[in-house]
Amino acid sequence: MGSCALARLQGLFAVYKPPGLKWKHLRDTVELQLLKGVNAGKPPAPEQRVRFLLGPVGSDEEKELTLTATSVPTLTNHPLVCGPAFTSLKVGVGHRLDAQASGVLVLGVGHGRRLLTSMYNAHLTKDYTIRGLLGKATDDFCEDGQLVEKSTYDHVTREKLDRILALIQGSHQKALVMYSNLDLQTQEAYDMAVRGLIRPMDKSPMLVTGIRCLYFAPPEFLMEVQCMHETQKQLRRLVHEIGLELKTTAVCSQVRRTRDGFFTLDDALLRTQWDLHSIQDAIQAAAPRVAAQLEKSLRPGHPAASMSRPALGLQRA
Amino acid sequence: MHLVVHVVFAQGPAPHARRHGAPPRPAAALAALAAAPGPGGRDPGAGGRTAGGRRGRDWRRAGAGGREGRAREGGVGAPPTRPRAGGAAGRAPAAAPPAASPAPRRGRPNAGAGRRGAASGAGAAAGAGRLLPPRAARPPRAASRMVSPTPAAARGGGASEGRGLGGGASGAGPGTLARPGAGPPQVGRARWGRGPPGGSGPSRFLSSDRRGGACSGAAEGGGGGLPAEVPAAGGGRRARGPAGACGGLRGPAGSRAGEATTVLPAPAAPRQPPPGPAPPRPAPPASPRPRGRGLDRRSGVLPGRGAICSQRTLPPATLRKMALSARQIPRWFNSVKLSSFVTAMQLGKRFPRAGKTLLHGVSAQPQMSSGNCFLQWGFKAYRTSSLRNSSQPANPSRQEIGSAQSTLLPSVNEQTPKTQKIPSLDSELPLEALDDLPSLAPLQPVSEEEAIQIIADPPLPPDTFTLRDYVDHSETLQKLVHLGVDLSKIEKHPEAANLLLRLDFEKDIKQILMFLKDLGIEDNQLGPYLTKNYAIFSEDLENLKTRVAYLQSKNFSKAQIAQMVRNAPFLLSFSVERLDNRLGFFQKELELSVKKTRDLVVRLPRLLTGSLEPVKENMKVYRLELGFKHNEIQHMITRVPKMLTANKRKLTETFDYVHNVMNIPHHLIVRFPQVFNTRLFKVKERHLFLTYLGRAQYDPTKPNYISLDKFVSVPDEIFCEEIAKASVQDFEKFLKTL
Repeated sequence: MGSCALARLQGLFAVYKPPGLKWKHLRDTVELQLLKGVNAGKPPAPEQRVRFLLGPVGSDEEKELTLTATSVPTLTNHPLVCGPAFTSLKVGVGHRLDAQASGVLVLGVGHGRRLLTSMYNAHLTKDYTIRGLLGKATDDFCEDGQLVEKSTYDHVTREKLDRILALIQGSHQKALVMYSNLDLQTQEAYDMAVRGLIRPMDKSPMLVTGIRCLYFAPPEFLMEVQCMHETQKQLRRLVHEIGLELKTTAVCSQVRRTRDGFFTLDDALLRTQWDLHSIQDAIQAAAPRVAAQLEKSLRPGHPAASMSRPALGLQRA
Repeated sequence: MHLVVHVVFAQGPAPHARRHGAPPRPAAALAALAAAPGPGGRDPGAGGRTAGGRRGRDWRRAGAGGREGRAREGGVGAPPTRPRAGGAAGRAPAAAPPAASPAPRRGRPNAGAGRRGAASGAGAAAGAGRLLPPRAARPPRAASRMVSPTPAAARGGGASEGRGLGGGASGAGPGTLARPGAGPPQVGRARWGRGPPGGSGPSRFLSSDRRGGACSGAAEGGGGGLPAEVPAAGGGRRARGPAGACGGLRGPAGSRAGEATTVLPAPAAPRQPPPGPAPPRPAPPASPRPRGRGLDRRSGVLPGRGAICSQRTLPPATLRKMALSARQIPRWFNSVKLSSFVTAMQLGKRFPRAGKTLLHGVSAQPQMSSGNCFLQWGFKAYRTSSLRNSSQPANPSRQEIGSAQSTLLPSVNEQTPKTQKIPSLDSELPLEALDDLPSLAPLQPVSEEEAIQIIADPPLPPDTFTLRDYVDHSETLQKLVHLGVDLSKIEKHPEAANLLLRLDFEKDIKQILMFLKDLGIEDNQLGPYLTKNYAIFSEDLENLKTRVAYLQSKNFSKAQIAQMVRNAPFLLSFSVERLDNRLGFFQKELELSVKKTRDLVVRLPRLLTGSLEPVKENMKVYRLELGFKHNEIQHMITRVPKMLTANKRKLTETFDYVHNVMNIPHHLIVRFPQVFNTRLFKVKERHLFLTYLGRAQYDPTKPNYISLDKFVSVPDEIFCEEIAKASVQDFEKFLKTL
C-alpha cells in the first residue's frame, strides 16, 4: 500500500503558503501529512515462516512425535513491531517565500525534486501582487516594522504612480537584455524576443519584466509585478523606492506570489488540502504541464519552433 | 578420550562438581561423568567430557595446570554456574596477571606471557581465550571481572589458529583483532556483549570471544593438553625453540614469541617462589596420578624429565591432556602433515620446564605456545567436521560454536549452520565406540533419521537495536503485540525494551493486566496504555492498589478513576504523597472548591502527571499579562482546563488578536474561553473573511451577532454556510488572497 501510494507521489505540486508561516515549517507540515497518508494504509497480511515443530504423525495406534513442517505467522513485520513503514519523505521546496510573504510555493516530492532544479535553471518569471501603503517608512519596508518616517502623500496621483512604474519597467528591460547575454542583431535573438524568451540564463540581480498598478486609493495601492531572480525583501524595497520616487514614503503591507513559473494560484493547495490524496491528484494534474513547460523553456531553440519561423517570414515577404 | 573418562571415574566426584551439582546428562557415556558429578556443564560434548574429567582435577590442583583445565572447560563445557570461581580467581592466570605479575595488562599483552614462557602472545592469547567461553554461562559480574583480559586473548587464539592454517583469510580477520592485545577496550566490549537478556542471543562480542574460545576449546577438548603444556614449558629459553620451530606456521604469534624470548631471558620463570595458588601440589589423589603418568609414558611424548616434573608439580590433568593429544593427534588428523605433527611433538617436549614454571604460578598463566595454535587449528577442523557428523554426540556448546563462528567468519558459516541435535539420540552411543569412530568427511551423506533430528534455526542476531529480532522468540513480546502494545515505540527506550525482554507474561504482566482491567480500562485501550506507561511493569502491584485506593478515598468514582488513568497513563506511577501534593496544589493555587478541583482533574488528568511550572506561569499570564480577574480565570479554567497547560506564547498571541484586532472585550472572552483552545490562524482566517464580507459583528447587543464560541468551534463548511453565509469555494478563494 505504502509503496504504491509512493509511486504516485513523484513530482511537483504547488501549495498556497499563508502569511506568517515559514516555508520550512510548511514543508515539514506537508511531509508529516504525507507520511500520515502513506502509513495509514492497511497493514500487509502477516508473513508466515516455516518451522519444524514436533507433532504427532501417523495413525491412532502408533503415534510418534516427528518434526513436521508448519507455517507459523511471524510477528517480525507486524506494524506494531516495526513501526511505521515510512518515517521520512524527501520533500523539496522550490523558490522560497519568506515568512511574511504568501502565495504559490512549489514543492517537489521524490523524483520531483530533480524537476525543481530544472525549474530553477529555466529562469521563469514569477508574478506577485504587492500591496503598498503611502506615507510611512519602516526599517524593514514591512508595514509592521519599526517606524522610521512619516510623510504626506496628498500630492500622489495615479498618473504619477504609473509614470514611475513605467520608468522602472523600462530600466529593468534594458538590464534584462544586458544580462541575457544576447546580441540583439541576430536572428536567434529576434526569434527569442518574438517568443518572449529573452531572459538571463544565469544569476543576475532582480529583474522586473513587467509592473503595473492594479488599484490606487491613497494611501493604499496595489501593484502587479512580473519579475525574476527576486527576493521578497527586494520587492518590498521596490515599494519603498517607488515611494521615494513619488516624493513621499511607502511601506509594503503584503507580498503575495500569484504565479511561480507555470504554477498559478489555481493549482495551489490550501492548508486543508495538504493531504495525501489531494497532493497526489495535484501532482498528476500538473505532471504533463510541467514536462511540456520545462521542455520548452530549457531548450529555446526547439526545432519545431524554429522551423515555423522562416515559413512565417516567407509568407510575409 | 575414553581414557580421560576413566580417569574421572577413578578420581571420583570432583569436589567442585559436588558442590554445584550437575544437571542430568543425556549421553550414557556422560552419565558416567555425571556419576562423578561433572562440571555441571549443560553441554556434554566430546570436549566437555574431557573437560569435566579434567576439571575435577584442576580444581584441586589449583595453581599450576589450572589454566588448561579451566580453559578447556571454558571452551567446551560452559558450566551454567561458575563452579570454581573462587579457586580460579585465586590462581587464574587470566585474572591474576595484574596482581601476580607486574606485566602490564595493556601495554604489551604478551609481556607476562613472554616472561614466563616464551610461548608468546599467540599462545598466551589462546590460553586466555579458553577462559572465555565459560563467561557466557557464568554469572556476568564474576565473569567480566575474571576474564577481563581475555577477549583479546580469545581473539588471539583465533588468530593463531588462522595463521596456523596458513594464514587463511578467515584467520587473518581475528588475527588483526588480536593484535592490539588484551587492552581494556576489548574488555569493555566483552562486557557489553553480555547484553541480550534472552540468553539465547549471543551478542557479537560475546560470540566472537566464544568463537576464539570455542575453537581453542575444541582443540583442547581432545588433545589441547599438548599445547597447553607448552607455554608452561616455554620457560624463557625454551621459548626460542618453539618460535623457531613453528615460526613458519605461526606468523605473528611466532614472531611475538621471539620478541618475548629475546627481551626476557630464560631465568625469569623457574626460580620464582610459588605464590598463593601453589599448594595444590600435593593435592592430586593418588589414583589418577599414576595413571596420568602412565599415559604420558605410553604416549612417549614426554621425556623422562617431563614425567618427573609433572609428577610433582603438574596436575595430572595436564599430563593427561598431553598424552591424550599425543595419542589423538595421529588418529584425528591423519591428514595433517607430518611436519606439523613433528612440530607439535617438539613443543610437547618442552613440557617439563613448563611444569616448573607453572608451579610458580599465577604469572605463568597467559602464555600458550604456538604449538597450541597449530593444535587448535587442527581441532577446530576436527570439530567442524564433527559438527556435521551426526555420529558425534551433540551438545548445545556445538551450537554456540556454530553461531560464534558464523558471526565472525561468514565463510565458515555456510559449512556449519547452527545445528542442534536432539541429545537423546546420541545418548546410547557408548563413549568407547565414539572414540573409535573415524571422523566422517564433511560431504558424507546424512541419513534421513539423523537429518530429521537436526534443527536448523536462523541464529539470533548478535546484537540488535530493535525488539523485532526477538519477537518471534519471546512469548511475552508476542502477547504484548497482540494486546496492541507498540514495540516500535518502546524500543526507543533501550532500558524499557530490556525490561520487556526479561518479563514473563504469566508471572509479571498478567497481574498488571488484570489490575488494569479491574480498574475499568477496556481491552482495546490496554495496548496504547502500556505503550505509554511501560514502566508500570516494574511497579509493585500493592503500590498501584494503594494509589487507586487513595483516589477512591478522595471521592473519585470508579468510572472517573478509569477515565483518569486512561487519559493520563502515568497517573498510577505517582506515589500517593505526590498525588496528594498535586491535588492540593490545584486546589490551593486555583482556589477552587473540592468538587471543582475534582472535576478539573477528571477532565484533564494530565494536570496531575505533568509539570506544575507551566500551570503557575499560565496563571500569572492570565492575571498580569492578559488582565483577567481571578474569578474570571477560575471560570474559564473550569470551562476549558486545557488553558492551564497551553503554551503561553500562543495564549498571548491569540489574546492579542482576539482582543486588539477583533475588538472583543474581556467579559466576552471570559464567556467563550474556547477561543484559547483554537489555532490562531483559524481565528484569523475566519475573522478576515467575515470582515471582508462585512459580517464581523461580535457584539451581542447588536443584530447579526456572531458568537465567539460558534466562530471558533464549527468546521469550515458549517462556518461558511451558517455564519458567513457564503460558499466554501468563496472562502477558499478568499484564503488565496491572504
